[in-house]
Amino acid sequence: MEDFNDMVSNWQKQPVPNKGKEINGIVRNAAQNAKTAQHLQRNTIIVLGITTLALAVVAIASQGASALFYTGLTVMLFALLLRIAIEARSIANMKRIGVAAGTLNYAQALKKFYRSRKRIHGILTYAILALYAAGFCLMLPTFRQTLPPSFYNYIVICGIVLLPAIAIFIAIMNRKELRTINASIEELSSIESMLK
Amino acid sequence: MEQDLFQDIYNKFYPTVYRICCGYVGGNSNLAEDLCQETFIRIWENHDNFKGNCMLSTWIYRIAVNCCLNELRKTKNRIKREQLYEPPIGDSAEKQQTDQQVLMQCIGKLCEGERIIMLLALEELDHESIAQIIGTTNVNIRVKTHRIKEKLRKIYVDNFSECEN
Repeated sequence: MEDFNDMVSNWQKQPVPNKGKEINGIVRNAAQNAKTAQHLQRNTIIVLGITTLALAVVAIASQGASALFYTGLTVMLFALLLRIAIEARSIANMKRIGVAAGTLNYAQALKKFYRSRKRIHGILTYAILALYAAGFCLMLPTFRQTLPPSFYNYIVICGIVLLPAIAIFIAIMNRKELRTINASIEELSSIESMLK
Repeated sequence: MEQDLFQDIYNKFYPTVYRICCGYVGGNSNLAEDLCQETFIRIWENHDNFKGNCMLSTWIYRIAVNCCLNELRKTKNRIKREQLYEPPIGDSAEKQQTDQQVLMQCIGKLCEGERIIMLLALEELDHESIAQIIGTTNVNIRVKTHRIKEKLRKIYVDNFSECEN
C-alpha cells in the first residue's frame, strides 16, 4: 500500500453505514434547531421582562427610599443586563460565522470567537459579579433602616454565604471551560499555520 | 430546496462526507455518523446561501470540513476521537478491514491540518477544488499535498510495511 493510488483505492472501498438513508430525520432536526433558537430568544425576553418587572415592583414598593438604594438597584440590574447582552452578542457572533466559508477563514473566525469567549469567562464574568455584589452592598443601609432586624440579619448572612459560594462555583466552571477553549485555540492555530 | 432534491444530494454525497468525517475523527464510526448528520443539517439550513460560484460538491465538502473543525471544542468528542478505529458492522472482507485500519492509523499520525488536506486528496479531488475548500491558492495546495503524500507514505513504511511482508 506504499503507492498513493493503492491508498486511494483502499480508502474508497471502506464500508459506509447503511443507516440514515432517509432525510426526514435531518429536516426534522434542522426544524428543531430553528425552534430551539427561537425558544432561546423568547426565554431571554422573558428573563429580561421579569427582571424589569421585579425592578419596577421594588421601586414602587420602596418609594421615598434613599438615592443609595436606587443606585444599588440600578447597578444590580445593569450587571444582569450586561451579562445577558454579552451572551446574546456571543450567540449572534457564533451564528455569523458562515459554515460554508473557506476552511482557513472559518478556522480564523472560530479562533476569534473562542478568544472572545475567553475574555467573557475571564475578567468580564468576575467584573460583573463584583458589580452585582457592589449593588447589593449599596442597598444594605436601606434594608437596615426599613426591615426588621431578624430579616436584615438573614439577608446579610445569605449574602455573605451565597456570594462567595457563587464566586467559587463560577471559578470552577470557568476553569473547566477555559481549559477546553485554550485547547481549541491551540489546535486551530496549528491547523491555520499548516493550511496557510 | 425540495426534499426530493435534497434526498438526491444526500444519497450522492453521503459516502464521501462520511469518509471525510470518519478520517477526521480517527475512524470512530459513531462520531463520524454524528458529524455527517450535522453536516447535512447545515447543508439543509444553508442551501439558500449557495450562490453557485463554486461547484456544489466543493460547497458541501467545505461544510463537512468546517463541521469537523467545529467538533474540536467538544472535550468528550476529543477523547472519543482518540479511540481506536472500529470498522462499521457489515464489512466481511477481513483483509480489507486490516488495510483500512492501517491507513486510518497512518492518517491519524498526521497533524489535523495535514489530515484535512489528505482526506480531500484521498477522495481524488483536484488541487483547485481542495484550494477552494480550504480557501487558499492552487500552488500552495499542490506543494502541501505532495509533501503530505510523502509523509503518509513514510509513516506507512516506517510503521506498517514490515507487517505486510
